[in-house]
Amino acid sequence: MTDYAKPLPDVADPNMAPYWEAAKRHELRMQRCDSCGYVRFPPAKHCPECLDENHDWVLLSGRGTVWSFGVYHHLFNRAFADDIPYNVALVQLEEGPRLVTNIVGVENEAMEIGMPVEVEFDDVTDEVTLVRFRPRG
Amino acid sequence: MGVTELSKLRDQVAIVGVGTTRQGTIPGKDGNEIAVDAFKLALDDAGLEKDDIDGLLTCRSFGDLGVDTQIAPLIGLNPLYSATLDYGTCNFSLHFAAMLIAGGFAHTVACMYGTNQRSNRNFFAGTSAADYALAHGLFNIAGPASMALRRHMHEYGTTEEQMSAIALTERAHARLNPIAVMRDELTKDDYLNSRYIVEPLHLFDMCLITDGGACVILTSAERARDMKQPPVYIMGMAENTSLRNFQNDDQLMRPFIQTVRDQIYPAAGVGREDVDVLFIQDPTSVWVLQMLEWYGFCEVGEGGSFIQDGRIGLGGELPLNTNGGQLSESYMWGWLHIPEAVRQLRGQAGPRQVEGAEIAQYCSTMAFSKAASTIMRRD
Repeated sequence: MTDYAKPLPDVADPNMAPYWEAAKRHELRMQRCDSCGYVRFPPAKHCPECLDENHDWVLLSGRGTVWSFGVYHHLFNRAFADDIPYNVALVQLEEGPRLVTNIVGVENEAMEIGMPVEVEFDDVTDEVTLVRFRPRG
Repeated sequence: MGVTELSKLRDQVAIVGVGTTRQGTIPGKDGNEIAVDAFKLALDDAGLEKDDIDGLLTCRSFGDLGVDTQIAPLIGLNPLYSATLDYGTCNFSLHFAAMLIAGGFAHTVACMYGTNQRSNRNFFAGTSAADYALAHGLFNIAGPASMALRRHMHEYGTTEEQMSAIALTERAHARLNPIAVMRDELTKDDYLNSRYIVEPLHLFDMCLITDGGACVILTSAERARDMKQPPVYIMGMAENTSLRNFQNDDQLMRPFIQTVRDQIYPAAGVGREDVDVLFIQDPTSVWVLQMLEWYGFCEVGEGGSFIQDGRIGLGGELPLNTNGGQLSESYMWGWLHIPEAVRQLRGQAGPRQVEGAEIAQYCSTMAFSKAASTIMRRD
C-alpha cells in the first residue's frame, strides 16, 4: 500500500476529518443540521440553509442512484494509467447530497444513468479509505 | 419586452478598442507581458494613448499572474481605479468596466488578459475539484462536462453525431481566421473517429490550451463618438450566479442561466430574434449546447437537432462563434469572442463577415458558478 501513487485527500482537514474517520470504519457519515435537518456535503462549520453550527454526523443509508458519469480515456494523471478507461460518477444519495465517486463491480459499458447503487469502502492506504459504490439489487 | 433596472445602462457605454495578440505558442513571454502586448494593440486600434486609460481591469491567469498590481507597473499607469477579476471571460470584466464608467469611477477602462499556459505546460489536470474528487480521478472540466452531456443524451436523445456540428462549424470558421490555431479541415468522420477525452466527449469537443492575450477598451458613449473606430454600444448586460455550486440539484445542467436570459433581452430592448451573430464561450462543446437552450434560441432538449444543417454556420440563420471559438481559434478563457463580435459589428471581419450584422450577443459562464451575457450593437 505504500506505493499508492494516486492523489490522496487531506484526511486531517478539520472539516473533513470526521468524514474520513467514518470511512475508515466503513461508515458513510455526513453532517445533519440539528436546527433544520439539512444534510450537507462537503462538510462545513455552518449549515448553508439556516447557518446553525450544531449538527450530528449521522450514518447514511449508503444507497443512491447514478446521476451521471463520464469514462476517462485521456490520461490526465499518470497514476491512473492502469485504470484507463475508468469511470467517474456522480451519485445522488438518498439523503440529498451528491457525491463524486467511482462505480465498481460493473463494466463501464453496462453502467446506466439511474442505476441503483450502494456504498463500498476501499482501503487504499493505511490512512485513507475511499468511498465508492457498486450496483445494488 | 419586460422591464428591468438593467435597462438604465442601455447604450451608455461603448467598446472603442480591441486587441488580440498572436495565439498558440509565445515562448519567452509570461502572461503579464502578453497582456501588455494586447493592451498596445487595443490602444492602437482605439487611437488612444496609454495615459487616456484611467481604469484598469485585469484577469488572473495561469501561474498566479494577471494581477492589477503586477500589470500596472508594466504599462506605467496609476489609474483612478483598478481591480483584478478571478475569471473575466471578457463578459464579467466588460460589465465591471461599464459599471465603473457609468458610476464615474473611471472614464476609459482597459480590460485585459494574457497567458502562457501552453508554453508553461498547464494541462488543467487538477481544475478546482476538491481533493476527494481528484482521488477518484475527476480531472479537468472535461469530467463534469461529460456527465452533463451524458445526462442530456439520456434525457433528450442527443447524439454524438449531432454534437459534431459544433466542432465542425467552429473549425470551418477558424479556417477563415488568420490568428486561429486549428485551421485544418475537420470532417464528421474525423470527429466520430477521434478518441474520447472523457466519454462521451470527443477530442474535438474540448478547447485547446494556448498562449495569447486580449484587451478591450471601453468608454462612455459620449466620448466614444469622437474616436477613431465606429463605436460598438453595449445595449444590455445581465448576470446570475449559482455559487452554491455543488449544493445545487442541477449543478451540471446549469439552469440558473435562464435568469440571465430573462433579464438580458429586456435590458437591451431587443429580442433574441434580433441577434445577427451569436458568441458562446466554449471550453467544451457542451457549453454551446446548454446555452443555446437556456437563452431560448431553441427549446430545452432540442439543442442537438437545432444545430444541424448549417444553422449556426456562416450564411446560416444564426452564425455562431465566427472566430472559431475556443475549440478551434484559441483558448483565452472566453476573451476572444468580444473582440470578434466588435469586428463583426464594425464590418471588419474579412472573410468571416456576417453581412449586415447590426446586433451581436455574447454568452459566457464561469464553470458552474456564474453566468453573464452582453448584447452589443453597431452605430
